[in-house]
Amino acid sequence: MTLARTVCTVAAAATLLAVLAAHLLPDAPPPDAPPRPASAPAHAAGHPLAPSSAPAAAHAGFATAPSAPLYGRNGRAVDLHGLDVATYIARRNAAARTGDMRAAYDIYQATSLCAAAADPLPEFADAADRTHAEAERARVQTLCAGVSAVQLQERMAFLGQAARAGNRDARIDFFMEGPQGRPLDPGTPADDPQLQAWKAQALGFLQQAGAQCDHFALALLANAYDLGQLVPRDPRMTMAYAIASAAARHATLTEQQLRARFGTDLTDADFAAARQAGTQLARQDCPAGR
Amino acid sequence: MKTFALSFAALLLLTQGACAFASEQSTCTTNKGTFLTGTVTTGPKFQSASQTIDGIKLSHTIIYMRADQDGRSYQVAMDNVYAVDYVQNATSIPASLATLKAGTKVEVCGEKYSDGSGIHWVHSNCGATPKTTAPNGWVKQIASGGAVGANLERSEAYCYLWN
Repeated sequence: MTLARTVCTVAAAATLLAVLAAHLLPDAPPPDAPPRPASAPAHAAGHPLAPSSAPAAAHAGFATAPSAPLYGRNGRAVDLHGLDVATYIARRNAAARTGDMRAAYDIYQATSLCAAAADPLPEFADAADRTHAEAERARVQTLCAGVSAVQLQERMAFLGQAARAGNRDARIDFFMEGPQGRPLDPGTPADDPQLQAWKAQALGFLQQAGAQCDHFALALLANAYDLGQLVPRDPRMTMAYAIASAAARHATLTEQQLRARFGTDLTDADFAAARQAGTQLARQDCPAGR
Repeated sequence: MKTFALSFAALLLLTQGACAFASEQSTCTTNKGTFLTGTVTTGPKFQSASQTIDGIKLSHTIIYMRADQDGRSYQVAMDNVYAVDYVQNATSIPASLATLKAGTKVEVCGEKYSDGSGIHWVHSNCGATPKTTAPNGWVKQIASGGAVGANLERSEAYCYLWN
């Protein structure tokens, strides 16, 4: 590897010299052209246990039982206790509207199931897989039959209430849902006021969940600083939150692991600063005993 | 003389491209992976999870690529949970992986299927010591100018599922 790098460095230096020479030397005339005067101007970037279940052949056994779990747009499983969504909501509505935050979150959760039912299905690698997904989608649409567009929209208000009341899951879900409960659209202008407001709220909620020592919230923050959509990209913050997330799981990232993951993105000074920031975040968000 | 210098510069630029890939290949070898570069022939398609851990469905995004190394077609199975923009349990392809449309140049480091028809484990190994059956892999897009992008399978948010 060292030899390869040396050869490449030499090649890079030689390229630079060659480009310089090309700019400094006069043009040679093409074979059939008359010679030009010398003064003519020149023209001129698993883990060992990790899942990599592979290929389609290994994929034949997904569950097709009608009792397969239902998932909301936040990815959490929803248990409707055998009811349809409209009935489920109706039984909790009064409580939610009079300050019962558990009921508010439950309503959000059930309604998010119906919001996911409106998401387009992707192109599937396998036709049988698509057939299964369509059947699941039809099942969810039946369960959501009595849910109105107003209720779908209102779910975000219930979610916001639960998040502000301190529900950690709700704080994470607010980020997962995206602005106005839709996936983040890269085509939305960055200065869109609604987008700006959502970003500020989502970041705040994620930080609050992180401050409750939620390893997943801290990992999402690491990703947010890596991706640069919710906040400007910052590899130092990515590394700091990765350290804090690991600490929340009572794990320590070694120097070697950190170097392998962040060493190429950070200078030595930034690496040291990020490590210190991560240790501080871990102490602050996950004091001993949490 | 100038023509010679320009030709030499072009040759050396090509050499540098080769050097970049040599370096990537070297890193992949250190990470215990198999390295392939090539062009996507079939764009991304969703594959539902065959496994669920702690309520997280481990779905995949599938592409096919023709490898520069041997001209063969390979299926590439990318774990959606390692995409930085993955939304848990979503029946959708993460936006970052959806960009790998047909014609895109890609570079992958992972473990070949036992029958040699494809490659998987093209993702971070959560900081564990790499093994040939669990390399520290990646999927990177190669720009038209030859610049190699960031690993699209680098998120470690779901590593808690395994450690």
